[in-house]
Amino acid sequence: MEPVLEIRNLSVTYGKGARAVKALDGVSLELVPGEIFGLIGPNGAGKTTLIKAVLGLIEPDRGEVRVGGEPGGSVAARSRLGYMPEVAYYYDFLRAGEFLRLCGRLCGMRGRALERRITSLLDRLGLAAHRRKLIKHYSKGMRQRLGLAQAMLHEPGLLLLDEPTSGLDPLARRDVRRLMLALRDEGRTVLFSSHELSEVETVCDRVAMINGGRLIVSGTMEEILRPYRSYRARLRTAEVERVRRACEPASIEERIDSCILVAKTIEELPRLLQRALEAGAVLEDVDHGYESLERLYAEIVEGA
Amino acid sequence: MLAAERAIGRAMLIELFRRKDLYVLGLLVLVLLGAAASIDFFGVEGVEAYLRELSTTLTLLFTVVIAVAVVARQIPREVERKTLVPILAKPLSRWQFLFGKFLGAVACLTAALVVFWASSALIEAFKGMRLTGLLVQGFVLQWLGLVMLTALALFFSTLVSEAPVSVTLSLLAYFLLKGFTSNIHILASGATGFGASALGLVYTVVPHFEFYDPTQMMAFAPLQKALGFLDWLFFAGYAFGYTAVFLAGAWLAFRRKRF
Repeated sequence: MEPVLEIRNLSVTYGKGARAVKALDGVSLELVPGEIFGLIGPNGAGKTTLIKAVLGLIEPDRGEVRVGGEPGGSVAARSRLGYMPEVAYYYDFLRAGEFLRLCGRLCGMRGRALERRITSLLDRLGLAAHRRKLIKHYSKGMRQRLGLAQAMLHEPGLLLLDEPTSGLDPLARRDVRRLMLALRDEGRTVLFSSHELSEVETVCDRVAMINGGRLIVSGTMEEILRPYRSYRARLRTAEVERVRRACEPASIEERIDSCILVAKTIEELPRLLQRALEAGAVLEDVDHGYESLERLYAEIVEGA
Repeated sequence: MLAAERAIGRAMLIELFRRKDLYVLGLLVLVLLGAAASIDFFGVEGVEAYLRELSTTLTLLFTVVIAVAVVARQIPREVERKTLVPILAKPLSRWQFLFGKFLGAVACLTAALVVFWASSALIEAFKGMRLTGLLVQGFVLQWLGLVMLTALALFFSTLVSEAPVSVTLSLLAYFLLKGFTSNIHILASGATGFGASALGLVYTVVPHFEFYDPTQMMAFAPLQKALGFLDWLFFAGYAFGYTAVFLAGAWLAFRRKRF
């Protein structure tokens, strides 16, 4: 499958000489059509720099970006992608309709087709009633939705969304997640950066984690979290310490009047359970799954 | 044609209108009208020349201030308000963005100039003065100078990141160039050898904004003669040539800037 976005060995440095800071260091990624790709990492990790380098707003020191085969930063490349910035600052002296008309014209759209597209997007994003309102009177949530509208206006194959749910209430976040899933169903590719790991886990097909400008890990959620797979048994006991000693060196998470026994493999689970039951615990429930992405994130970021 | 550039220019005009920046223009027109109306015509020899000189000088000063205030702040303000990034992420080149800003500024300044010159003409008519074709010539000459200044201010706007610095540099450059370039010629005529050649070269190379000051032409009767075709060809070519140089400089400063 032809990649929508190819990033090869991308490096960006801010400043010169002793003040030089490497914002990106040899990052390589490839996005295919119809996937949601999550970019995670702590503040200052290089997520926004990566997106800006794809847009051509920052020229890299070395490396290559291609959007649908076109050189990154070229007008042809930008016509294939839509971008929503992290902070929704737009021309607030314009009305939403006027702003989208401006964006449409910059994308080469015009006439009735542009007006129809604006109307349908404002409807889809719940802004139709506010079309004639000046952007300066928009709430943060409305600005975020307008940001999505301007990014989607020319129906690009690739959407770059920088923290699209930042500062939104839970319902608005859910709407953005639904929208991303709908875009994927339409065959579009979404690259989005986020701090919300649960959100990334929920909607992303693939994830990349960057820290200190370097790509730490990337792949599907299954690939990334496989080493963190675990089996968890909930045990009722008043003597957690006794159970802990019996099951050493397995991990025990203490709860009120109970504890969680964590087994790394299915093979070791029966043996550990047997020891716990012999120590007086009562089995309540067994669950299997992954450690959350949050734990992986914490390990990588704190270990860096 | 130039759809993206026109869209950027239109947005700029809407901003000036909605942010009430252009209301300053109305205030300045009132100053112009008030100053002219205060002149007493009865029994004063040469008052027509004085009136013309006053209104042309004020028009020039006001439009220069408006031009610099509007244009020199453009890019720093966009960067500061973070509105530049979503626009530059669209499929338009940085040249298109700059040229759009230039077109918007020229449209705004043309409108301002029309208002000022129309006001001057009204005053002259009200005072019983004869309106001549020189008014049109003065208007066009000043417009050419403003186009040049717009490109210069846009250049400074791309060069520095602070709006006040960009405004100051543009005003300094304009008034220094306008005030002193003609003196270089005088200095050159008094110098000899290498000094004369160097001063002559400087005189030739630096932009001459004083060419586009119609005050003398408008005010003093002996000089009130129409410019010929070749004169216009020179003035227009000179202004557009320097405009192109300043715009190219602005593009060079802006094209690889990181945002």
